[in-house]
Amino acid sequence: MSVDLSGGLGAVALFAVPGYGLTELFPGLRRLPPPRRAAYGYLLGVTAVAGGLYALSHVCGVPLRRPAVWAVAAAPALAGLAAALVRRLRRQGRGTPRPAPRRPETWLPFIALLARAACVLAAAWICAGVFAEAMINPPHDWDGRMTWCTQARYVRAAGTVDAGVLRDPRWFVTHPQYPLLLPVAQAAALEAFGADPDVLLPRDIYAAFLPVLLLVIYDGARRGAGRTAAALAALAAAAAPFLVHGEGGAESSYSDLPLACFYGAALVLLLRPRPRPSSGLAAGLLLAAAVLTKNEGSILAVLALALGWRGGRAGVRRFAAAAVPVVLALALLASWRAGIPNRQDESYADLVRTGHLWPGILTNAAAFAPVIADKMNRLLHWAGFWWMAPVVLIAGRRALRHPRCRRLLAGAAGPPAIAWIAYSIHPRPVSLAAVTWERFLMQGAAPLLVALALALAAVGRQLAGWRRRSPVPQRDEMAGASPCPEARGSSG
Amino acid sequence: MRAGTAATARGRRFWIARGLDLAAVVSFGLYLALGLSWALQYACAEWDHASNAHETLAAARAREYGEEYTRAIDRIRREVPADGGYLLVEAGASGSGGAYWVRYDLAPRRALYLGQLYELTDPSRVRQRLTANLRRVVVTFNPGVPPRLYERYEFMREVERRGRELAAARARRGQHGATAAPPAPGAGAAPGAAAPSASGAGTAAPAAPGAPAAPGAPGDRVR
Repeated sequence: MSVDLSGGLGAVALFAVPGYGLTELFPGLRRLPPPRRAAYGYLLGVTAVAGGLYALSHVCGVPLRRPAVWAVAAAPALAGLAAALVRRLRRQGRGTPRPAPRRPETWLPFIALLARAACVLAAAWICAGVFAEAMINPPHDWDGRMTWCTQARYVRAAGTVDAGVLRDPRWFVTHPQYPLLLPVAQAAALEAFGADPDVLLPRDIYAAFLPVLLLVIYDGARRGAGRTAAALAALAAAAAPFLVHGEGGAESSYSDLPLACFYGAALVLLLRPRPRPSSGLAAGLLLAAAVLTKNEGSILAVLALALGWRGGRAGVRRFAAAAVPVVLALALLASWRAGIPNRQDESYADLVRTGHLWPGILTNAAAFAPVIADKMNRLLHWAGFWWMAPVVLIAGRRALRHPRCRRLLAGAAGPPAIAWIAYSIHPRPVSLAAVTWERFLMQGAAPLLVALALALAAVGRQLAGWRRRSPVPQRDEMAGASPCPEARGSSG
Repeated sequence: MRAGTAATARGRRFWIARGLDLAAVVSFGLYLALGLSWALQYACAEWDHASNAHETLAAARAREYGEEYTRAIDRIRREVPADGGYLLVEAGASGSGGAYWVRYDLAPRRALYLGQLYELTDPSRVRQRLTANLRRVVVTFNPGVPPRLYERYEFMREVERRGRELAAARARRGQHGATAAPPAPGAGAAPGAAAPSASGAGTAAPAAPGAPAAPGAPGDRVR
């Protein structure tokens, strides 16, 4: 078969290995179990390798050729290795570490264990199916071929992100000012292995974002919702057909799923109960990647920083650590764009300036709202997700009282809100909504599914206590213990 | 009395909340059952396909994009060097994506977009759009239909011929005082439009996309 398994694995490893090394530098990520650590590692790897090449190419004029790709990939991997060795040596110097205090053994309900195992197996099988599809079929999506993969070929051929074809207004390039993180990642993978432009290995880079998203959802939900609810929420993401097969999903070469991962993972890190500068820096790097992935990534990065804001010295230090990479990425993007004349693109800045926002934000809604409703109702796209999610969130509303849950929901509402504003100012809102609304929904998938897991856990607790409770609440129940376990341990 | 009413209200709220809990569990279960059954079936099919796909990369491209289309792309790739450029003309339906897919397949060759074929009836205007000295013209059709490659002089000759035919048709209509609207120049833009030379009859009788060219027409020399 034409399946180039080693090429595909190599392309994924080109980012996963350096990223895994980078996680060694962040204590909050280093302590995670290997699968979740690898998920964050993959995202950090794409950020470090593709983002590093993006910056080096534009700022220093480093050619995007094999030596540069391997050097940029090797640096974080070696840094991680060195950090691990130093840590081990220090630990040896201190003598044998005291074993971590073991929690008292709790009785694990067999059904919950079985449910989690089934979730892992089903999600793994779905992800494997996506990889299988990516290894045998050439790209067949719309925007992937129209914009992202074409740009990747231009960048690879020119050996720079400032390719002449992008900077010369005569040439026919759609969305020439779109950020190029994922095209650079494609070009880097092809260049690293000296592959033919037609080979399918860049598709595996995109396919790898699906398991990453599921693991990020699991990681974000596990602490507050418990392992079973977190596993179920991750499985709910894998069961949404649009996230897998849709235009923008894991089987496409769009940048929407990567953006969903960067944004979601950064939010999960920023909303952790203890504000640490290291987790802030990791989140900031992921948000920098979001800025360099898609136009709306800049707005989402600012939103995530705002949602992650915490008072106090530790909170401010974490915010600063997260903000610095975002500011640098915004500066890089602005500098890179300055040399590229825009053409074949919607100029949202001009549309806003010409005053379409008002009353378009109200009047256009009547035109595009039915399209939005139709898209969310499509059984083949969402399998009824948008019917199920509100019911679960309402039933588990006690969990949503927690500030963290509210911030997660605000984070999930961010991308659709951006879409709403874009449709309000666009001269053809219906056609734009028809092709983009579901992708915006996907961009907010991670925080929404984490909130859904918290609501599911609340429903589970309510149902478990059903038999014990009488219709008339007892005094202690009316006192209102927080349904969100985290609420007891942290101030949100 | 008041305490009894309050207890009843609390009881009602309790049962509503329990009903909501059950609805949440049922809806989540239904969603997972539906979504997972599709997703797992699809994954099985993909694995089955992958494990039986004993094909080369070229065969995979031919399967996905069509044999004729892939062959045409490979021929154009051989004719236009990777660091070269070409003039791109869209003869398929606007928004069908045909031009995008050809541009992707030919990248990193640079494309200078001349426009929709039906617009190109005035040679002087077409020359104004030639802002780069490119020798080749690639005409694209609807998705899946193989693109065609022309030498620029052949293409320009065809544009001139189409321009003359249109002018003559307008003049005839003017002489006869016909009240009917003239045939839309956009006939070539409709799905199924042909390259300028492929039909050999300009806009009067557009041939089906990919139809064999008339002998002697530039379409014969399509590679």
